[in-house]
Amino acid sequence: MSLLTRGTLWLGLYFHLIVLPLVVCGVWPGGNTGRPFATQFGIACGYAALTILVLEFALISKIHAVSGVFGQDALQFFHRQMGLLATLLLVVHAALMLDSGYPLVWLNPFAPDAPWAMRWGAIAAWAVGLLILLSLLRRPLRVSYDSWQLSHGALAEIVVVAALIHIVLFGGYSAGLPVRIMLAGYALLFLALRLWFQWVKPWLLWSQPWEVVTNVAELGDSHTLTLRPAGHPGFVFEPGQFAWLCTGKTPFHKDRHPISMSSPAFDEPGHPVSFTIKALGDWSGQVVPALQPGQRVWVDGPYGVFTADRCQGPGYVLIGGGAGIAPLYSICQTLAQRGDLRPVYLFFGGHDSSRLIFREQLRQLAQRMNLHTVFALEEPGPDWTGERGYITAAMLQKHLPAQYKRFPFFICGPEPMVASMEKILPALGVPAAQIQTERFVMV
Amino acid sequence: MRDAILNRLVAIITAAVLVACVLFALASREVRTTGGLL
Repeated sequence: MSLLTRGTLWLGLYFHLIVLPLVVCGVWPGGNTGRPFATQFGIACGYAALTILVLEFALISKIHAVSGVFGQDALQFFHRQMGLLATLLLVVHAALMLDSGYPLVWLNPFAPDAPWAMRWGAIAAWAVGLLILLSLLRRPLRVSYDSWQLSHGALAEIVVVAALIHIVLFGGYSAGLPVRIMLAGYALLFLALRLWFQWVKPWLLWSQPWEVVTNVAELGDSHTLTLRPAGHPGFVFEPGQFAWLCTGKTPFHKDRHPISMSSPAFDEPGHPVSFTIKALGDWSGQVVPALQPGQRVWVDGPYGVFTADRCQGPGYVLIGGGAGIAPLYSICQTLAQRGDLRPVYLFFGGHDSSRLIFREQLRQLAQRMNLHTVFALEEPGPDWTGERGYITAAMLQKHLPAQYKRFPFFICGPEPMVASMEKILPALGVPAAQIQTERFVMV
Repeated sequence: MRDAILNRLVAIITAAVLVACVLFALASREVRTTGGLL
């Protein structure tokens, strides 16, 4: 089955699961019809929000049958956007219910005269508000990724459980047996997804540990961890993909980080795999540099569709910044190792020359393949002979060959750089389908 | 580009979900009649 067919089927199933409660409630209303339009619309928004929230867990549960089609990075982004839609529907639901006559004080779960159904609804509403605030303001509030990850999972579980209890206790449509059976189905789906993500997946990883071979300090406050599979064949990945690294004592540890592979991809498993990690927080700045050879870690992957193997062309243009060079370096090494003679144009931007990760390795690699490197520094020293400032349209046109519009473009780096390229490249005539982007900061 | 495509997909799903909610509300709302033959 082609990727397009599988993608269409998954999307169709996703949408049907969102609207299924409306169909079931519509077919078996159980005497709940006859309310004003606004109230019925509010009820529908509540049901749709619940199903979107349950399916949010499916999007981040790293199910290979789904992530292999869309790419786990795209699913994470979609998860974020759909979470905002669910919040909007919940706000509309609450507003219309209040408008239909329910007292405002019931938004307080501790209100003395509030029925339990409303208390649970209020708990779900406050939990989802806190969850969204923490996600949107994680960086300004300086909440660490690990703390955010823990709170996000816990709050999301509270939201779904509280919302389900709210619906069941409230009665109305949910008083009927068909709707109760349907709600039980969504509750089971929620439990199965949590069981898979929290217990089954880590259990499977436990029997496949990886061992640290080397931990090398790189330029730009980064470390390259090279791991080898211990007692199992490891995995085959495509250049540009990423995996979740867990450095806890067991894979049940909640501290997991999505990191791109920076080593070449091989056609058969068993090879060591490298990850280049820039010090950006507690884990990357303290835990990673302290990892010693022989130490066991857990690798969940590979994931992602940001890979040169899925987007062929007469040559490649790679544009990276900071730690975003890691997947691009993997692409370059893989092409060199395969003896691929197609031209590769690599634009790499950094603050100063001391932060250009793999600068020397890239220069050496250029002797083994058709690689043209362009380094651009924001603050170059007096001896710098390369490009200066940010990567611009003029800089790209100066170095790229005339037929560049036929090349696939891979961009990975800080958000402003990726956003800038997404504007520049279409203006230069590069078709949208040939522009692949990856943001290494997901939240 | 990927994000733009995904945002478009989210916009389509949002519109479709809202249409489904409106249809549900239309189908199950109270119907006021003017009496008479009805």
